[in-house]
Amino acid sequence: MLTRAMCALLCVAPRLSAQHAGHPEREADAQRRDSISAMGTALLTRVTPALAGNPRSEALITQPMVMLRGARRSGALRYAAMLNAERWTMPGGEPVAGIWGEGFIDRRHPHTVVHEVMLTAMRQVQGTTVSLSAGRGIVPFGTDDPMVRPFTKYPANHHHAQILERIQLTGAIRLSPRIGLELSTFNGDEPASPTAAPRWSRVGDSRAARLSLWPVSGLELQGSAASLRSPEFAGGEGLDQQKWSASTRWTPNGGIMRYLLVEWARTGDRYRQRAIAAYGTGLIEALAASRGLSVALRAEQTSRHEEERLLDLNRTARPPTDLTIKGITRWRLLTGQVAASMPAVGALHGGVFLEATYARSTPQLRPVLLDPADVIGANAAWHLSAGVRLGLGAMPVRVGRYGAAAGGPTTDVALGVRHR
Amino acid sequence: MKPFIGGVLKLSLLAGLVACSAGAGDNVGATPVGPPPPITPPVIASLAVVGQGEITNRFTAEISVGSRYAYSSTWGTRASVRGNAIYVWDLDAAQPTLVDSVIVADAGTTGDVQVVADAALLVVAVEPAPRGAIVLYDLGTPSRPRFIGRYETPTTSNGVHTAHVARVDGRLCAFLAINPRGNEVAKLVIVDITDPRAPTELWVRNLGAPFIHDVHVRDGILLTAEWNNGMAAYDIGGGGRGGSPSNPVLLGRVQTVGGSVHNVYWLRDSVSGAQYALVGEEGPGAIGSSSEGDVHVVDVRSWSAMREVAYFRVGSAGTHNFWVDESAGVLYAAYYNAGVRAIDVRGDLSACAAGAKDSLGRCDLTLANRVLGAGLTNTSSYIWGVDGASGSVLASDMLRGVWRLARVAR
Repeated sequence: MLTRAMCALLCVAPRLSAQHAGHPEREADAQRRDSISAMGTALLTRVTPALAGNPRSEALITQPMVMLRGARRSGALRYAAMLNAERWTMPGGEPVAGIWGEGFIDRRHPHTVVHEVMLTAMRQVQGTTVSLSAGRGIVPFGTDDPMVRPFTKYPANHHHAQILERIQLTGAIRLSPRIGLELSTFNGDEPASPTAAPRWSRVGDSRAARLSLWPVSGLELQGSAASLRSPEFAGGEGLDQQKWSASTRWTPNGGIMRYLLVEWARTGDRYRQRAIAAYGTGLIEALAASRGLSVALRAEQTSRHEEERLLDLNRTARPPTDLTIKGITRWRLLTGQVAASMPAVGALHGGVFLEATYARSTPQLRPVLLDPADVIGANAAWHLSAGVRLGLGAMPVRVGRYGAAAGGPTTDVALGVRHR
Repeated sequence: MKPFIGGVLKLSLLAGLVACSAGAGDNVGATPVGPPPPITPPVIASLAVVGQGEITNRFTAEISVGSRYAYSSTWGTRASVRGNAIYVWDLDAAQPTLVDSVIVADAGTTGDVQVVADAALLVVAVEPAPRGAIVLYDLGTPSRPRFIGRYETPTTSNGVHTAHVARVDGRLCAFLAINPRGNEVAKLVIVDITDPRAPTELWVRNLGAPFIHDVHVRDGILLTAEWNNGMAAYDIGGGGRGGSPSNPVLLGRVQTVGGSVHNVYWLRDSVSGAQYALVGEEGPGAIGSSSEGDVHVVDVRSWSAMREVAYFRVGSAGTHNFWVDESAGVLYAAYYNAGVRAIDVRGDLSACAAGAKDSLGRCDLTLANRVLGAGLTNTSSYIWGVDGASGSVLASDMLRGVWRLARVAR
């Protein structure tokens, strides 16, 4: 059915090459060129305290990726692929305050090797652009993946605010240059490991929708909802999730203030259509830059559930061994970054940065069964990082918006390492 | 440079606003939502507290009672202390007295423990992955368990959630419920521990969706709690179908209402001759503060035609493990955040007034006036399991240790 749908769209697709003539170049337009790019960050992080009151320093390479983008048939057929090597460069994860997911806790899990392979067919119907995308990729829910945002360290709310690495069929319609709607169906299960094959039998058991507005140049508003079937149990027997997200993203055209994101999201656990618990997050981050120097700040409050940990205190059982939680913790985090661009050498470009996060945890349920402070050694911790971000080639400035859902005027702004 | 400095100042101001916003944003935090509308059972009598043995450095898990001593296991991590201990309690006096403890190496949870009286053995289930195992202790001196050995194989490495020991056809068998992990599904492993120094694996089968948490063995019949696959009965020597611990033969399966089949007890009423499987359902919850799940009563007179005939529900709470005083016909059910409940299970549990039946025709044991008592309902307790001691009931409290309760009078 998927093949037939793609075919039907392609067979009647008119040429789209002049579709957005007169607009500033957008990610959607840039995607028409074949390109290959790569990026990676060499990172040194010191966490104080990390475990049992003791500090820990780690050096690793995070977000090593190769990206392919391009188009055929004058932009009517587009592809996007992203391979991620974290499975080899950080198999034990990366220390990130307050984060959890896929069997890791207080460490960000390595992403799947095949992070994204998406094919998009586009056409224009009576002045309206529509697209159909299929493959494995980022579900139209929430905000941009943190990999294309200013900070190296992910926010704690990654699993509240994005849905990644799903087999999906996503339709998008650009009702006008300033209004976009995406609808998607996908598999609810989280990847079991960076190399685990997706559960094909579950494709279609979960859904998401995102409405995006671009009322003025540089301003993007989005509201999205998703219904996920049993993300933590690949067999489908676990709790379901209902997710909501709303955000405002501002990328002014000129001045030193380059970027502002205000985000709210909520994840509700459901068991047989009944609400069990809900977790929320609020985040604001901003970037100012001038003459190759930048300063970024992020403030975040995120709540997460606690689970029993394995003998490795940064790991949890996957799947869990029952349907219970061991507590809820609210994390408050403040992150700052200063960065400087390095001179480009041919296609090689990059920058150096210093990043600091102050994180504080507070248990929310009584009695407290698992207080992260008991594991870490304190209810507050510092994460100090220094590193070099390198990029090769023209990298996409945003990810997770396919076809007709690509950003509005001047919203496609490079925020991390230099992009195209 | 001035515009840049100005920008940084603006950014700092913004960060301040952000921090204030986040600080005031408790409403974006967690919002636990309770289970369905409660049905409050009419408690007839209290199970009086006779004594308590307090443990607060670790979370307490299962309790198993021998002739004079009881053994409690431990669960999870409490203030950085692992659940790697077994505590030994002297029950000679009303007040349980802690007399010894053993530490199990490479354990994060010793969630299940069982005294095997006729073999003077103590069997302990060990979690988590990758060091799942059972550990065996000699109870030749019951107050001082002596390490015999650890049975740990690639089959058990994902974690042994429970280990139920029963004698079948002269052999002492341990039935190990193994956790799922990654792409490996849950399984049941049967091990011959007749010689506890040289256990041998008899049978392995993928079972449960997604878990198998417990089994019950009686008279050559194996009952398995297979979560969303319901409860199944296997012939392992007593079913007349040629089954054995090396070759269990499926006799039948039943889906109880709500699924999440966690534990099971085969009740044979010596007075009425009635035979029921008492099935515990474990729903979601926050350990220490909330739970949900009913006790389901399944008529098992025919293994091939098992059917649920009754249920027992406590509002805003869920059951966990239980013990049955068969001579008195009383089920003692651990009910996590609602203490211990005593239910009359004598006679025909499928018979009740029309007004006590639900839309599925099941008797509501509360409305059928079968509630005999409740205990530990007013304490800050979270009850994991119960076991019978001479004239009393021992309850394991995850938060506070071990309680000794008087049994209900009939």
